Parts: sequence; C-alpha cells; structure tokens
Amino acid sequence: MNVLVTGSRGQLGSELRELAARTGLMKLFFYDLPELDITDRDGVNRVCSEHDIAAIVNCAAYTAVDTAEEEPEAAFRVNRDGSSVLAGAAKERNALLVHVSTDYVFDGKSFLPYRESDPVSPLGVYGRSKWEGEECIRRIAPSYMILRTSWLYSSYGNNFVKTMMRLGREREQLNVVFDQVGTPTFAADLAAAVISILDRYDSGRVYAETYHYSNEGVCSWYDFAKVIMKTKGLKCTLQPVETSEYPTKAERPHYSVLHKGKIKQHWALDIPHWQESLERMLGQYC
Amino acid sequence: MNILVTGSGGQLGSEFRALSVRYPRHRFFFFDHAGLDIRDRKQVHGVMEQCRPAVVLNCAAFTSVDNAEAGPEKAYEVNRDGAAVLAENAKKHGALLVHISSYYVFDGYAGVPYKETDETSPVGVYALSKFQGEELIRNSASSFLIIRTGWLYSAFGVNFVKTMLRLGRERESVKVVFDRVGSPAYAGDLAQAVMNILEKQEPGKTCAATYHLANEGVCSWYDFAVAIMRFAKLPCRVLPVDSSEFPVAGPRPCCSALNSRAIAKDYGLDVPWWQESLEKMLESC
Repeated sequence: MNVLVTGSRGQLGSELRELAARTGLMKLFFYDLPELDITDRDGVNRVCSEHDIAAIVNCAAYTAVDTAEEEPEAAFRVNRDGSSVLAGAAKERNALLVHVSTDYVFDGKSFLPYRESDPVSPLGVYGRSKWEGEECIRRIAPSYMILRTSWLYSSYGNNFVKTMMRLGREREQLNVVFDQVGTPTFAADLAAAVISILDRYDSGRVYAETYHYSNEGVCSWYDFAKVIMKTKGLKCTLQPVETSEYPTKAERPHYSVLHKGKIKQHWALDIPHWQESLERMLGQYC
Repeated sequence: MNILVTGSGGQLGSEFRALSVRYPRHRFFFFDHAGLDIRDRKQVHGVMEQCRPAVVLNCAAFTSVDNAEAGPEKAYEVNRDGAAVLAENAKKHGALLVHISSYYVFDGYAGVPYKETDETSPVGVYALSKFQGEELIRNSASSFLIIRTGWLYSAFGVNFVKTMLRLGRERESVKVVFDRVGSPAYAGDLAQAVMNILEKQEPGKTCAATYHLANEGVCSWYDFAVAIMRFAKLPCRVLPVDSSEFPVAGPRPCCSALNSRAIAKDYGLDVPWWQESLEKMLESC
C-alpha cells in the first residue's frame, strides 16, 4: 500500500519518516513545501497518481496560533482549503484520509476530558481554521479519520520541549503558566498510532471517524516544564505564573484534556503516560 | 508562645508534632479527638484555660466525604459547630485561629486553579459542613487564618499515597481515575508553611484571611498514582479510567486545583512542586 505523507518536514511527518524505515508493510511517500503545496489541487492530484496513493496522512498545517490572528487568510488557506484539496484528491482515488487536528477546536472551558462528541467552540483564528478544515473533510472525503491531538512535541521542529531546554540552559529563572492544563503528546507516539492504524484498517470499509489522541495523564505547562528541567538536570528555577500575566494575541484554552477512550477501544492502542514518553524523547535528544 | 494543636492524631496534626521539636522556643499542646472533642464547649474551654495558647491550629475535621452523606450530623458537628466553638474560645483568649479547610468549598466546574477570590459553591454534606465552618470562623473569630488545601497526604494516617503503596505491592495493576484533576498537598509542607507564617506574624497583630495552599502544579489522580509507583519503584501498572467506573456516595469536584500564589507572595513562601514533595515523602517512609 502506498501512503502519501504531507507536511513531512514537520514534527509528526519527521517521526513518521523515522518509523517508516522500520515498517515494511507499506510504502510512504514524503512531501512538503516547496515540492508539494497542499493547496495546489493539480500538484496534489499529480503526486497521488504518480505514486498510486491509497491513503493520505495530512501532517501539513499552519500552526502559529498567535500569528494566525494577524493573517487569518494564511491560516485558512492551509488549514481549511488545503484540507479540502486533500479530501478531494482522496475522493478522486477513493483513498483514506488521515488528518491531524487539534484541541483548539474546543474553548477549554470544560472541566472533564473532551470527547469526540462534545460540541466545538474554537476561540480564535487557528482553532476556527482547523475546525473548518475538519468540516471540509467530513463533507468531501469518502473515508477519513480525523485525529485531534494536543501539546505536540518531538525532537524535530520547534516546540515547547526544545524551547524549555534552550531557555533552561540560558537562564537562571523562567516563568511558566500553571493555569492551563492538558496533556502533552509525543509525536513519535502519535506517529506509531497512525502507522498501527494504517497497518490494520480495512480498505474495503468506509471510515468516518473523529478520534482524540494524546499521551495519558494531565498536567499544566508548569509541570511539563518541571519534568523537562529535572530530567535534563537543568538548574533553571521555574516560577509558576498565571496566563493573565502573559497576554498573547490568541486566547489559549485553559483546559484541553482529551478523552482517548474511543481510539483506544477501536484500535486496541496502548498509550504511554506523558512523563514516560517525555523522558524517552529527552533521552534521545540532547 | 503557646500553640494548641487540635486533631493531633491526624495527618497534619502528626506533621506538626514531628515539626515541633525544631521549635523549642514554642510550647506545643497536642490533643487528639480522644483528648479533646472540639464539639464539646466545656472541654474546649477547660483546655484553653489550661494551655493559654496564642495560636490554635485546628487540624480536627470529619473528612470522610462518603460517610458524611450517610450521616451528616457528625460532619456538621465537627466541621461547622466545632470550628465555631474554637473560634469563640480563640476570640476570648485573643488567640489566632489557624483553620484548615478544603478545595471542596468549590464545585470543580471551573477548569482553572481556584483563587481565594473565586466564588464558593460547595456540593454535598462534607463540602457544606467545611464551608459553613469557614463562615462561622469569619464571622466570630477575632483573628483567623483559614487555609484551604488540596489532596492531603502524609507518612502519617490513611491517605491516597499509602493506599497506592499497599495496592502497588499487592497487585499487578490498579485502575485510577484520570478525569479528576487537582493539586496534591504534602501535609509536611503544609505544616512547615504554617510554622513559617507564624514566625512572620507580628505579635499582637490580628489577621483575617482566607488562603489557598497546596503543592505547586496540577495532575489527575491517575498521574498522582503513576508518580507514586515510579518513585516507590513498584512494578504495578496504573490504568487510567473514568470516574463513572467508581461510583461514590459523596460528590467529588472534577477540577479542584488550587492557585497558591497569594499566600506564597504575602508570606514569602517557597511552595514546592508536588512531585518533589512526593519523592521526599516516599524517601522518608
């Protein structure tokens, strides 16, 4: 089976590439800008035909939450229109579309882990653009799985973990918010889940599923940072602060814990605890 | 200065007792519930006359959330009426009453760590009894410090950490809820913080404040259990489950994390991160 991975140079795309080297059952084709722009319909169709693609994993996204508030067109172009183009290409070839979405489709005003059936209410441009992308896929793609994830990190790309490691070495003290809680997701775990699903899905069946996936457990960004400093032996002192002390252009959800019961049940996945995965990532990455 | 500790047989009372040896300049008087029933006006009066405390640390409480639903009278007698008896007596003696309260005064529907300025919304008998105890103290004590704390544990008494240690040794796996989040509170840290506050309290100056104090950070019970098994090096697997799998009599708040910044700032306290304190506690037992 041939699989197209878009946004292949991002965190998740890079983890998929690393895993692909170890999986023989399928052949993955990796594309990112500038070779392939997911908003370019002809380009996407050409690549799909060329490799006889049976499944697309869309890891391409506009993820700059704050900048999205200033340039909503750019966010919508990638997150909504790009999703729509990929859904169209999937339809053309009757391929499965696996699409990565986000906890930002929720406003974070809940107090219980979010389930797939919970109503969405994105707070800003980024969340809205991702939600509209999801909706395009639900409308167009013949068979899809939308995977919403949260607090993604990896040894690839830019993310909170790598920023904390850098700042932890540079500074003596750092302020980190403790009033936003959620769950980190190690992109390597998510990539393994995607591969595991692609390995086992039934190409004769139609999927119309939304799933939530993150690592297990709950923490605040402050706790997340504490574990990073502790594991890396960094002496930087962390000061817990409130979100209101750090105004950002885009509002962040205060509570973004995802309920993973559905994906675990459908695909018999064993999801690692966030701290265990974080330590694994930190062990690999200096 | 004379310090009276009620409920001294409990987790926090035991931590005060352990700490007291480091404060030889103070005279501590410890009473557990057999020695002093805070519901008993006459008994409390007698003990106050005998000890003449400058500070009363009330660690006595009815803390079984489920039993409180089955028999509300005792919960109200201890948590509400007992608190009032101590408040009146503290006032009479010009003593500062330090009273320990709970995150249960909130319903847990906020999803954001609670501040002292957040509106209370107690649900259930235990929560109401604690809240009404607070209110009576605010109304009748002349000098008080109410400290609402989180998921209290200690090497003393019965608590979640010790239960997990036992299950971790007995079983291969244990199911723990992940849909309730909050802030663990090591009783040893809480006792130390109270002593630090007392050191900073100007003699003769009254105090009328309600504060939140737990360890720093947020987790679910599941994360708490995972950390316990890790630090104790127990091979028991912790499985995250929904609270609906464990029906209980007394309602529990879903999100009960506390924002402890105000007390930290006002008293210059260094509040340890929950995992650091847990590790410390587990090393000590």
